[in-house]
Amino acid sequence: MIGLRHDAVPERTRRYRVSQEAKWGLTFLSLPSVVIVFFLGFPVAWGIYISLTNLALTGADAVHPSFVGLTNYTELFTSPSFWLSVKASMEYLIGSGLVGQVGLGLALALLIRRLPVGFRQFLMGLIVLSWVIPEIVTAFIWSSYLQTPGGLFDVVVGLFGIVPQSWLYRYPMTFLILANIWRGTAFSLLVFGAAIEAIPKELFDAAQIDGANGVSILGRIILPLIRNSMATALVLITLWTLSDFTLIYVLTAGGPGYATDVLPVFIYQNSFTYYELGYGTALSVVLLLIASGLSLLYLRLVGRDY
Amino acid sequence: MKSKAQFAMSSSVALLLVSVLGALGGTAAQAAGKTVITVAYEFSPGSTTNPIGTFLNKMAKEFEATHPNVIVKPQEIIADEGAYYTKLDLEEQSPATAPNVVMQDTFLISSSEQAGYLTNLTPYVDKWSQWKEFYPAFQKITEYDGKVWGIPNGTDARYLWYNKVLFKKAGLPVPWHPKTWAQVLAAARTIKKKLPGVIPMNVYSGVPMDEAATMQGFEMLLYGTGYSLYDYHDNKWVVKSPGFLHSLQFIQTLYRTGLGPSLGQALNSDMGTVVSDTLLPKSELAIDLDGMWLPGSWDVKGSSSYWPQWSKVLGWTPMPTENGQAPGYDTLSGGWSWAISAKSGNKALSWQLVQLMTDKQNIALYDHLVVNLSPRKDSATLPLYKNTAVNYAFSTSLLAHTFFRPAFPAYAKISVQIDTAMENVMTGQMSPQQAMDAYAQAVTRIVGASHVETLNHPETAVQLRP
Repeated sequence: MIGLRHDAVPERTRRYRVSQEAKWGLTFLSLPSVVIVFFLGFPVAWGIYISLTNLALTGADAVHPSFVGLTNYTELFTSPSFWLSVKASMEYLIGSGLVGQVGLGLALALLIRRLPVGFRQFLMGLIVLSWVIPEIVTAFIWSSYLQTPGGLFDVVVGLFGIVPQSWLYRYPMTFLILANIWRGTAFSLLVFGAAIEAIPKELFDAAQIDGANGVSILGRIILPLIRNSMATALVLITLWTLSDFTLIYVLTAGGPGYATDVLPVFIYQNSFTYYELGYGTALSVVLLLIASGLSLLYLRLVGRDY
Repeated sequence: MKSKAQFAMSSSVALLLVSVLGALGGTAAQAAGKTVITVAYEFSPGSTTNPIGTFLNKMAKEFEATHPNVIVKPQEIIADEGAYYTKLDLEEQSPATAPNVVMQDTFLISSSEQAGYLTNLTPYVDKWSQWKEFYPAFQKITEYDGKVWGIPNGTDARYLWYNKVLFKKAGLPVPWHPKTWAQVLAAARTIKKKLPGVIPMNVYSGVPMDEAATMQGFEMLLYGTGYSLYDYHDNKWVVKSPGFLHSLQFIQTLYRTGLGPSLGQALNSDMGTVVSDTLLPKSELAIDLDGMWLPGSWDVKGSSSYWPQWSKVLGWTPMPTENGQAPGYDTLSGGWSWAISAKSGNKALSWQLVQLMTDKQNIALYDHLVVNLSPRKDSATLPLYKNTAVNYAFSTSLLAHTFFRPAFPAYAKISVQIDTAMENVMTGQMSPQQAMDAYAQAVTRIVGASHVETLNHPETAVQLRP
């Protein structure tokens, strides 16, 4: 207010309006900022600090942890089990998140738009149902489905002469990926479906008059116009898949061996089974870095408006 | 104005909610001016019987009868063994959540003490006339750093259980007394050949079974090779030895040649209950390396695991040493104790309750219910104790050559590394040599390079006899 010029009325009005808006803007921003700093910034900073100590859940290090610098980080980067865990996480992310949920979701969204409206809605309803079921319930549904002997899966493949076996132990990652695709595809289908729906019909009509085929309609109209939805879906699905715990813990608990020991399960084991809270926290920081790195990469590659 | 009114409204609703919740947090007992003493114990999911719960409810009634202003609240922690320790450790971090009395596995006494979770009971037992009734060896297992941190409530022994009916069907001798590991595996191979569909042998293994895999599984093998986990002469952890390697090779043979349970069964934290409530009673398992307490769930009338014929169907025999080395068998003894949290209040009352739970009569009752051996000399003469299970006398006889686990603070972490080594071998992801190398690396990280060693001569296994 003090800096306002009193001679130029139009200028003053404009400035006044801006600063008034800014004031409200700041007011509205301040509360979420406080919340973010308090509930996000503080735990992250605290986590980074803990990751530089040897804090444990039991033994002397539980009461008197000492500062160990980057020891936890150098240890994890030289530990074979950490890299096995990263490998499992990447398999799970690419298989169930990117190829599965994003790829299949997009394919379904493209297919489903050709169906009659009533049937489409019915189908969407069914698919969304798998997304609405709580994750822990989904995990137990799959656990009983794949149970050996006597699970439904054994019965179905038995019709084709395939012998019952411990599916989750012979092909652990394959079945985890299938279960997560089953659970999560509905989300990307909803996002892509809505984005495609929002494309003006005239564009398709014009393309058809110009003689464009399906591939060029997809490549030149649909994909460019849903880029932003795609970036959103990619980022969210990547973050969810990378931090997924429940489904994996119930079905395989990370095993057998390290076959499905994705980072969140690995972090849990190190922190609460091996009692190494400092080391587990260092792993969490690494997971945070991987997830933010991937998100930034997608936004650069796919999202234009971010 | 409207938004202000809404804000005021919503904040007062929130305040109201907080105060109502706060009021609900205080228990009815506190409102009545009574002191609550909580006793935490483990209840594994899937168990069909709850002997410890039964025992504690009875103790609560007895204690409340003489202490009208006290309520004893058994706090059942529903968790498998590994998660029980974790949950307990988390609870013990704060006075707001620490239980007053905890059921504490004796192998965790030293690490819990170092973490500051336990109360030093030495001043209490010094003034307790009954402490001298406990066998010195069992007084020792709850001791660390020259002080007492828990009152032992029972001990146990481990050996081979076998199904006599299946053995006869397969043409194997009954009674069965194998003298070497090779004879044990030979019997398992015969079962596999003659009785398809029956699991030849179970040895707990892998991370999900936690301490059961370490102790009933790996250590029962290792201590039969003449080697130990810990070298008491040099005060170092033995991270590599022929005995360690041979034990992992036994696990490999069992799980990679179809002599053991499927990985799906074995790598499940419910495996203990599956063995005792299903596989053994239904004659689906021929040989089981397990604890003496198995009949605990079979002797309870009215429970779904009630199996009165068990002593006719099953036989038991010591686990032989690897090549029949003297004394011909090995066994390990563990045991639990009642400890008092460092961060809880009402220590005097807690101690009175622990005294009641471990007096001559009640310790016999406890060990009768959970089928354990009494750490008190005088309890062994009580009729209730003597009439427990028919495997009692046999179990007691094995204590002459029993081993205890190295009760050092690092053991809690090292135990899980043993389970990891077993799992790496049983899944075929590593050879026994690779798994032992990975174990050595992990233990070195836990205790430091100056506290580990490689041994090639079996000279340091130490026995502590009760």
